[in-house]
Amino acid sequence: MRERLLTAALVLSCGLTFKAGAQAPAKANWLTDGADVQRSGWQRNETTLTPDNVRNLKIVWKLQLDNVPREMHALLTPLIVGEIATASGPKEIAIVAGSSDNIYAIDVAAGQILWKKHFEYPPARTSRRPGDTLCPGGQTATPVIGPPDTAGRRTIYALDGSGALRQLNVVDGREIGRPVPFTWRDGKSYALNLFNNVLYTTTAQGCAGNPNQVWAMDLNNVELVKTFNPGSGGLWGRTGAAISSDGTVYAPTGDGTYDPENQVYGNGLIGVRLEGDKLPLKDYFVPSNWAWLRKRDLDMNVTPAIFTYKGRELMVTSSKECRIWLLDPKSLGGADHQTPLYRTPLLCNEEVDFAAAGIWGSMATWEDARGRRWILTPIWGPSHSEFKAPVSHGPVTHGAIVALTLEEKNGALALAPAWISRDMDLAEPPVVANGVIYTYGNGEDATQATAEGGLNSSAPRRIPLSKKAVLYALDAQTGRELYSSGSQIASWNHFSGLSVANGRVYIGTFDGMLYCFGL
Amino acid sequence: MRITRACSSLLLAAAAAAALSGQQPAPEPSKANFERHCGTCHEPERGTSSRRTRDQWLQTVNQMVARGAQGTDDDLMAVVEYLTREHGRVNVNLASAADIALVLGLTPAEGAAIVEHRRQHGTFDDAAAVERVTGVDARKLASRRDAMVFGSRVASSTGLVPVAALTAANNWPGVSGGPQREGWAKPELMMSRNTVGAVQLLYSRKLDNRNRGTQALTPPLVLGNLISYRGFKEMLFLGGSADIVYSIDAELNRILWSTPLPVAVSTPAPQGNPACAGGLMGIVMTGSAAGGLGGGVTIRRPGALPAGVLPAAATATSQLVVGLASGFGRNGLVLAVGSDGRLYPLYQSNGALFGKPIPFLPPHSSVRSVNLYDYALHAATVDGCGGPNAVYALDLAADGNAAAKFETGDSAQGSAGTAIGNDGTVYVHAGGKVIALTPKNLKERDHFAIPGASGAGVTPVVFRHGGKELIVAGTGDGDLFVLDSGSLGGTDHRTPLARVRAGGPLRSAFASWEDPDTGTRWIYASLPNAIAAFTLEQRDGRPVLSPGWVSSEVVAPAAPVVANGLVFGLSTGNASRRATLYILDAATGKPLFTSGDAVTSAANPETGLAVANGRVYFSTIDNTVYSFGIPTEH
Repeated sequence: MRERLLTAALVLSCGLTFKAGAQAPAKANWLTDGADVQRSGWQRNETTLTPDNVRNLKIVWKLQLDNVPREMHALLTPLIVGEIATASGPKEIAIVAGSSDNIYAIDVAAGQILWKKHFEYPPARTSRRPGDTLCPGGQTATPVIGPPDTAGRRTIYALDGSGALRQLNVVDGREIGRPVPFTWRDGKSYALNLFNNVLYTTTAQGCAGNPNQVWAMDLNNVELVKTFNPGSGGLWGRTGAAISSDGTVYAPTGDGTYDPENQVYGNGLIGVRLEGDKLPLKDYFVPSNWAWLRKRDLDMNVTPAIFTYKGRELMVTSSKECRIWLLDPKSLGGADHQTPLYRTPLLCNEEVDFAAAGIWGSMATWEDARGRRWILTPIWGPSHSEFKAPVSHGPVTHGAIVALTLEEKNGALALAPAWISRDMDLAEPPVVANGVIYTYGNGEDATQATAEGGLNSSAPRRIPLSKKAVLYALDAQTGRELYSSGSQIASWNHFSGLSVANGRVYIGTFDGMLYCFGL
Repeated sequence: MRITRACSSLLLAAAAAAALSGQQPAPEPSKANFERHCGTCHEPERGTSSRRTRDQWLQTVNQMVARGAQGTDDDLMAVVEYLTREHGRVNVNLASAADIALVLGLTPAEGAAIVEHRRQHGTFDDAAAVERVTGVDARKLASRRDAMVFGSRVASSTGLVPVAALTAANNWPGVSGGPQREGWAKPELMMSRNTVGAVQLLYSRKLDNRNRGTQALTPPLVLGNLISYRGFKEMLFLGGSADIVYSIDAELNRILWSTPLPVAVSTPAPQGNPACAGGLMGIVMTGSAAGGLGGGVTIRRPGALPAGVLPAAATATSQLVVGLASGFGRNGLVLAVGSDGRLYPLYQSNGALFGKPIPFLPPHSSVRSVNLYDYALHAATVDGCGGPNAVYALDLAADGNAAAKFETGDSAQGSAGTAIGNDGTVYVHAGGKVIALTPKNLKERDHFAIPGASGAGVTPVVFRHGGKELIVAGTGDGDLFVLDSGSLGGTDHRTPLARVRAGGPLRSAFASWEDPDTGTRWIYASLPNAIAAFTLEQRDGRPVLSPGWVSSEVVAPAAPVVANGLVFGLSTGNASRRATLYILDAATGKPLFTSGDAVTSAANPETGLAVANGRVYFSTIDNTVYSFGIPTEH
C-alpha cells in the first residue's frame, strides 16, 4: 500500500513536471514479479486495455536481446516502471533480466534498449553439470524495483549468478555500491520481493549445494543475511515468497518429508517473519494428504496469493496435485496445521503426474466492481473428469485457466468454480487487468521422464521438443477468449511470466525476444 | 550398508582395481573425503549450514549424485558418515546406540547407556533428561544439544506412525520377496501390532486373464516407485496364464498397462497331464528403481544410461544388462517367461518389449517361480511338462544368452523353485536332496541327502545367522533341517547343523526373520492346515531349532510372509472354501486380523503373498487381485 501511495505521489509530481511531454503519463507500474508483494497478479491501474478493445492487440514491437539461455532459462518476467526522468525526458522503462546475468532497460515507447548491464564476477572454482534444467546457474530470480527516493530515483535490486545482490540505477544502469553477498553461487533463487526495505528470496533444488530456504536481507544492514530452512524440500513458487500485511513471508516447501517434531516442514507452506536478526517460523500449513503428495512428487510449488476480503486477510495456494487451499494467515491450517478454511476438489491431474500436469507457478486474485472476489489459477494438462465449471470453452487437454469465486455460506468460506478457459498449451500464471485476464500457453516441453529411459529432464532433450508460446486475453467474468496471438510468437519460454502496464503486455521468450503487445 | 546388486559389482571392480594399483580402497569419513567429493561442484561448507539426520544427509548426497557427484558407494557413504558425525541430528528416542554416540560425540558405552535407559524408562522428553542418564558425561552433550531431537512419529489415519512409514516406497521384486526366499518384508513400517487393527480390504480387481488348468495369475510383485513418463507410480506386476503381463497402480487400483506376450510355439502343448496345462511360466522384476522416498540405506544412482532414448530394437545382451541396472529414476524391466519358454523383457514404465525375446526354457514347461540374481535368471521346471525336470540359468550378462541346465530328475519342491545364496549359489530341493549349484553354469557344488526323504518338500530359504549363511530345508515328511552353506550336510552330506520335527508335512516355501527386539531368528512354515513357527538359537556354539507355535486353522496355506512383527498367511481354500487372509502375531501366532468373507474365490495353493508399504497383495484363481492394508489419504 505504501508503495502505491508513493507511486501515486510520484506520478502526480511527474505529471506536473512532464505534462507537456509527448506521451501520456504512465500510471501503471509492474515493479515486482506477481504485481505486488502479495503476488496478486492484479494490475489495478490499467485503463487502456479493456474487454472491448483488447481484441485489437498486436505486436507493437519486438526486440531481440542478446541474452544467452542457460539450459531452458532465458528472460525473466519484465518489470515496468514509468515516469523515469532521463536526459531525454521522462520515460516508461521495461527492466528485463536475462539468465546469463544480464539486465536490459528498454524504452517501451520506442522499443529500444536504453542500457544493458552484464554482471561480472570471478569464475567458479567448481563445475556445474551441463544440461541440468533444474539448476541452470546464472540469474534466476526476477529483480525488483524499489520505491523512489526523495529525489525520485529508483533502484533495481537483482541477484546475480554468484549470489550477490546488485543494485542498479533505473535511469542508466549504473551500479550503486558494491555487490553484496546474499545467497550462494549457482543456487536457484526465485523472484525477489521487497517489503519494508527488506529483500526476500527463496531457493530450491539444492543447486550447487545451496540449502533450500527463505533468505532475507535488510537493506539497512546488508551485511546480515537472515534465513529460515524448513529442513526439506525446495521453495520454488515461481514468484518467490508472498508477504502479508504484517510482514509475514509465505513460501511453499516443494516436496519433502513433513516431520514437525524434528522441525522438518516439507510438502507444506511456511510463514516466517523477521524479528530482529532472526527469521523465525511463525506458522505452517501441511495438507492432510502430504504423504501422498510426497510419494507422487506433487510438490507444493505455487507462490500463494494474498488478498483482503471484507477486511480479513486471506490466502490461496496450490500444488501439482491440482487443488486450491484457502487459508487464514492468522492461523494457517488451524491447530493441527492441516485444516484449511476450504479446499477444492481436484481441478486437473487425474493421472497423478509430476510433470506437465497440475498447478505450477503462481495464482492471481482480484475483486470486481460488485465486490466479488475472484481466484485464478493456471492448470497444466487435462482438466479433471469430475471437475465441472458453470462456464467452459471446449475440452481442455493441455492446460487452461480456471476461475473461482469466493463464496460465503452460513458463515463458512468456499471457492466456487466460475469458468474454465479454452485449452492452451501449459497455461501460465495469469495476470488480471481492467476486466481482462492475460495468460499464455508457454509451449515448452515439460516432460521429465521418458517411457524408455525413465527420469530425464535434461535441457538438450527438452529444448528441441518445445514449441511456441501463445498469448491469450480472456474476459475476466466469463473466461471467453478475447484475443489470441496465434502463431505470432516464434519461440517458447520456461519459468518466466507476463507483465501488463499502460496498454501494453510484455512477454519474453527462450530465443531472447522480448515482445510488446498493445493497441 | 546395503548396496544394490549393480553397485556391488561396481564396488568389487573398484576394489579389485584398487588392489592392483596399490591404492587405499577404504575411504575415511573425513573432512578431506567430504571436501574431495563435494568441493568439485560447490564450496563444501555450503551444505552444512544446518544439522540433518543420517537419512536427510543420505537424501542430500543422493540429490547430489543425481546431479552428477562422483565417487564410489563407499566414498559417498563415507561422506554421509562424516556429515552425520559432524553436522548430524539424531533422534535419541529411536536411534541405535552407535548412531547416538556418533552424532553426540559420545563413547559407545555412553550411547549404550542412553539406549538402555530408554528401554527401561521410556522415551526422553528433552536434552536435560538425556544428560541425567547415568554413565553419560553431560558436559559432552552441552555442545550438541541442537543435535538431539525427540519426536518419532506423525499422525496418520491409524494414529502415530513413523514418518518413514508414510512415504515408504519399498519393493517386493520376486516370489517370497527375493532370491533368498526369506519371505521377509524387512522395510515394512506401516503395518505393525499397533496398527494392524486398521487393516481392511482396500480394493480388488478382476483381470481379463484366461486360466490354463489351475493356473491363473502369478503372485504379485511390487515396485515401490517408478519415476515414469506418467508420473511417480507404485506398481503391481502380475503375469497371467494366458501370456499376459499386467501392471496396476498399487495405490489407486488403476490398470497402467497390460501386455500380451507375442509367444511363438511351434509344438502343441502336451495333452492329458493336468499339471502341464502350459501358460505363462513366471515373472520377476529388476528392483533397484527409485527406492524409498523417506530416506533409505543406500546410494541411489541415476543409472548407467546416457540421457536420451534407448534403441527401439535392442538385441545385444549388454543392452539388456543396462536395462537391468536400473538406478534412481531409471526405468527397469519386468522379465516374463512366456508359454513358449522365451524370456520377454518388458519396460516397467509401459510394458513395451525391450529388445527381442530370448530363448530360455523348453516350451510348455511348468515352472514354480523364476528367480533373478546377479544378472542371471533362474527357473526350476517341474512335472516333466516340457522335458526332463531341470534347473535352468540364463546369464544375462554373457554373450549368446545360452541357458545352462542341470537336470534334477524329480521336480523341484516347493512353491518358490530355487533359492539363491549371497554368493550366487543356487539351492534346489529335488529328488530327496538339497542341491547346491554353482552360479550361472549350474555345476553341482554340494548336496545334502535328506535322511529318509520321500521326495516331497519345501523351497529352501537362505539367510545369515550367527556369522554364517544358513539354509533351512523342509520335507513332506515333516522334518526341518538347518544346513551350513559352506558344507551342506558335512562330509557325509547327511549331517545337518540342526533338525526338528514340524508336526506335519511341510509345503510351499518358508518365511524367516530376525526379531530386532530379541535377536531371535524365526522360521515360519506351511503345514497342510496351519502355519507353524520355529526358533533358531545358538546354544554352546551350535544352532538349535525349536518349535515355536502352531496357528489355528489355515487351510492349505500359501508361503507365509513376515513383516514388522506380523506373519501374513493366506488360506488358499479349496473347492468349497474361499481364500482367507490371516495376520498373526509373529511371536505368538495369535490371530490379529482375518479377511472373513471378503475374498470370494479360492487361490492356487502354489501362489504367494506380497507385502510392501502398508499393504498385502495376492491373487485368486478367478483372476482377481486383492489388496488389504492400511488406507492412506490420497
